[in-house]
Amino acid sequence: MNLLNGLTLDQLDKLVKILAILAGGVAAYYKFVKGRVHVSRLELKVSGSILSKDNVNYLLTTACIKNIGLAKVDIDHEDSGLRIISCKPMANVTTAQLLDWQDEASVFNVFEDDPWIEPGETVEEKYLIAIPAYNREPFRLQLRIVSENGWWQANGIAQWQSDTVSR
Amino acid sequence: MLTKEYGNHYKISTKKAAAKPKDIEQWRKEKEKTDQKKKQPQSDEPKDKAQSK
Repeated sequence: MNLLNGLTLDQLDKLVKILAILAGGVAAYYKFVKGRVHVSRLELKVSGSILSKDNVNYLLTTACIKNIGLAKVDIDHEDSGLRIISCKPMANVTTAQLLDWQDEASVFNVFEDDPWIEPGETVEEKYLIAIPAYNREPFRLQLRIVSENGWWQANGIAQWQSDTVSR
Repeated sequence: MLTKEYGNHYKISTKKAAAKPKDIEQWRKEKEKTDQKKKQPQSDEPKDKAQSK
């Protein structure tokens, strides 16, 4: 009888352990897989303004990456970049219209000193780019970061600084 | 890709889409072209300006 009771308790102990391991596995699955805890996540921002000095126009662009995930994100510098697109000239605008952007653009390397972004890290860089003297038209900015786990893109519009607009 | 727009100035991407963007080749070509322009010697603008004076 004692032996039988002992076996039962042993079996119960094993059963409890198995159930605990299974419950732990399910909890871990929901936390890390369903909750995407270790999925790479970046938050990108890009903004810019256009300055004019000594008859040369400059586009001052600020690019910012924040790693909001819990995993390190390696930057693929070959495919990441900052794309600057000028707009197509508009004529006879009488109603509100969306601007058309040129098909051809310039793409510059970004964050060349940062091979990766640590979790929680924020990296910001400013770029000063000489631009052709168009008729004070805005430029479209596209910041793209590519890594082996995915890619992210932020778009922005660079406007002329109001104090440099000629009157 | 899902994006969240803040004013008219920029959008923040909140989710990644495919592993690689569709227009990745276009970006590579444009980057190559931009690099080539950078390596080329600057235009003769100062010379032209001097001549015009």
